[in-house]
Amino acid sequence: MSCEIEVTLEPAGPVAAGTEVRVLVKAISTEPARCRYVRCAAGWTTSGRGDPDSDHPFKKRVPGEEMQPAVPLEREFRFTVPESGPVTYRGLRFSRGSLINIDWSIRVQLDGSWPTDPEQTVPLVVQPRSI
Amino acid sequence: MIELLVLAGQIGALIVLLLAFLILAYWWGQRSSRRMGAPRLEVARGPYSLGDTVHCRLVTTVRSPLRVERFVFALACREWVRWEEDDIDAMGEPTRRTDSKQAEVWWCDRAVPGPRELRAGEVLDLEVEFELPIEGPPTFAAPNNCINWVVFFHAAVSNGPDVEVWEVLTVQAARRVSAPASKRA
Repeated sequence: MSCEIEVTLEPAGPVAAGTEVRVLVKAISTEPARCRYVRCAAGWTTSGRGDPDSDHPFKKRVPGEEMQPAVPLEREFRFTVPESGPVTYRGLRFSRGSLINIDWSIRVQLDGSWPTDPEQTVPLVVQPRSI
Repeated sequence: MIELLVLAGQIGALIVLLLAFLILAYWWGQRSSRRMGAPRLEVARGPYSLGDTVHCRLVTTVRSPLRVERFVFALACREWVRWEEDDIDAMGEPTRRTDSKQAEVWWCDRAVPGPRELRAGEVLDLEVEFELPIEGPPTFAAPNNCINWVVFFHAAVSNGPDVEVWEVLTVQAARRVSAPASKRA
């Protein structure tokens, strides 16, 4: 019993800080299943030399439905990347001595009757807005 | 009882000596800055956008004569990180310690030609400009990871400690693609 999740972002990225992003979710279960909720979280996390910091400025869940094989469950989320960022930062591309990376991602999770809740994570590149 | 008083007196004298040393070290460290008249670095703190020009000005009225070998202004981007890790202490017991590290990931400096003999009462007024790199990172602050932009002024003083003052700037998540109004005019 499994479920495939396809996540499409519009725009796909890179997006400027302050941009609204649509998250289109399409899930197909191989067997009949009950999906209680579809959850979506957008956030950033740091990696590199220091302990990681993270934040998820957007977290939302919407009701799911009874799923049948080959019948896709479709949901849409919208969120706005904060104007204050942070922006995606690959430190080593900027400087050889860099210690920090900052990455954004969108995680979609289905809460239902599966032994393990299926989930899908996609990256999002956020850049400074142009003025 | 007398031995105890003598011991207390010795410890007291040691503490007084230590305090006197610290005061003297602080006084010596600030000596050039006092002679230079406690220089101020005038920099708008922002927020700036990447690609913006940062105007820096150092103004001071010299208090006592001094010779400065060179003046340097600098704009730097610094990363700071902190982490916790398991360690073994001196007694062989497991312990957890916090460590941190700092790295300068971008640096630009401008030297003002020297040396210069500064007279008491002379007004020292120096100005430079820097451009924030368009591909650089904006300011970022989180508990364990920070990115800061800092402007420094450094004066290498003859026969005295050097003078250093700095200001932290805020760089927002924005990139200048058109010239600012002040440059278009």
